[in-house]
Amino acid sequence: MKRAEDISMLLTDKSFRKILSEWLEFSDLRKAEVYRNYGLTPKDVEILRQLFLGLDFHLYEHPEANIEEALNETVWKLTERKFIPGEKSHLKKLYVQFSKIAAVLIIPVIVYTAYIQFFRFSQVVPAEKPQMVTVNSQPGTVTTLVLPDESKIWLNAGSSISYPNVFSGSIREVSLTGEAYFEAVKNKEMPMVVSVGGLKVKVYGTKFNVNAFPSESTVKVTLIEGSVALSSKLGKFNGKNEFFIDPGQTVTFNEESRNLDVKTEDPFYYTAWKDGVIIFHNHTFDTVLKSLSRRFNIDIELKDQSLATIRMDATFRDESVNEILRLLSLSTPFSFYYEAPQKSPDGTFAKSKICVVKK
Amino acid sequence: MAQLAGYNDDTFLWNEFKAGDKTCFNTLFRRYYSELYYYGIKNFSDPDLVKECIQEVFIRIWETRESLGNVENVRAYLIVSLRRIILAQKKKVMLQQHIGLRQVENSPFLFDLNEFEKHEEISDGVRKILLAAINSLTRKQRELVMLFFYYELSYAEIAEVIGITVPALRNLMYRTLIHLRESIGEKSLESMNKLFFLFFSSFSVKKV
Repeated sequence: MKRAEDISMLLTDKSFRKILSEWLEFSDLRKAEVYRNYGLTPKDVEILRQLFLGLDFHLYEHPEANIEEALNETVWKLTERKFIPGEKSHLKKLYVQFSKIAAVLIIPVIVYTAYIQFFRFSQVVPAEKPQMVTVNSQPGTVTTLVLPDESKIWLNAGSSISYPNVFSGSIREVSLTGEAYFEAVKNKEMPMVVSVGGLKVKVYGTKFNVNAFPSESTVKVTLIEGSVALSSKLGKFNGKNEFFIDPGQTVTFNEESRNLDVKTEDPFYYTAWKDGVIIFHNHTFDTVLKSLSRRFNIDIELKDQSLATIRMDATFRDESVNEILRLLSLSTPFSFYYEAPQKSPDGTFAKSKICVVKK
Repeated sequence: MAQLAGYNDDTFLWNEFKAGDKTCFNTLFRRYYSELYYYGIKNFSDPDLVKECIQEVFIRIWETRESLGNVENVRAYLIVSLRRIILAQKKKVMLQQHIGLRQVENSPFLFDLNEFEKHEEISDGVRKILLAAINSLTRKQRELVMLFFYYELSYAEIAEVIGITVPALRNLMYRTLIHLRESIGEKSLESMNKLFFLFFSSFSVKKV
């Protein structure tokens, strides 16, 4: 019998799966019958059995106590939500009736409010105190957001940004930890000031990238277009209060030595992450592992610190963390393995962990 | 004995629960909690959210039990509900945080060896290779493999869960299985060759 499909599709057949699970108890006669009926060789069956047994998921059963707790909570939530059973339908009718009346009554209220807002008190708008908004990008995710002034921001994994819900006063103040790419809207009267660590980045409207993860004691600012001025509370740069960056330049500010280092490199190295591309350009191995850990939301432990300072260049697009490490290990003497994830007593799963060791 | 058989039968439990039997509701909850949690955590990787949404699934089916239809596969029904509620909940949370906020990407959890049954007939080498192959699948492919081989849902049910057509799903399954088979193909061939070698060597010894 010639089959049009790959033999592995047999696994989707329930009766064939039953054959595979009982295979060892089969007599030679029955085995031969299976080979004939399905047009398979003994080798085919062996591969299919390995695949079938390998896909046998093992369920982590929750402890009974945890399930009971979740069940009790559910029952409790149910009783809390229910109000006066039986009279529900009657109440509902009353509610519908009431909302109809309310809907008619609210029209004059809206007209009156609009009148007051726009004609009477248009001069005296009370200055509301702006509230701070904080957005976190969880490890493993890239988030985009739009500021109140329509500026667009890409927030890299494991980063957070805060800003007021309304920009008022003379500057647009934003503070950042981690990495973000800005497309700031132009406003000459009201510059945007991004605070990262001890550094302030002042812009009028440009595209730029800021990289300042607390785990690395440097702040990197890359300018794509427009102009940007750096200033610091800690002191002056070359005797000046502000240091200007040109498009295409990347400035690295070391918070410990307070040194500024200017390089002209392809800005794509620094902004590729927002398009899902991972680029390592003369990165040390430990920073590579840190950024993979943030990007894929997985713990990576470097067991041998002698590898930490090896420098590497690489570009990845749409690869899994497994594949990236495998490819890196071709050129660098290391190997890696998964460590069983910790299962905490409350039944939650910890993150998977990858250990990297010297080969 | 008849009662006991009844309690093992999902359809019986479902009908009794619809009639308002709290014991059957509790039994369904206990029976499916671990499975639903595992599905949720593997696809959405947020323990608190998953727990809350499972409770929401059961709250909703209890509150609407009178209008619920007959369900052919309770497990499939619960998984579809859970997925819908989690997605709706995530959307709600995002809207609350900031208008215009969008989650671009969500990396799924990787599997590890403990999550598969150990069978003596497959070597650790093959298991590791298969695990790597499973981890290199796309999120959708992994969800498909879990739903089909672990939860044993039918194509039609999985199509409803994932939200694609049955032919597209079959196509995806075809590509997935070929990928997995090819990954272990070489390795298992090696062990087969070893077997043949043993067989022939014992044969020749006899002859001499």
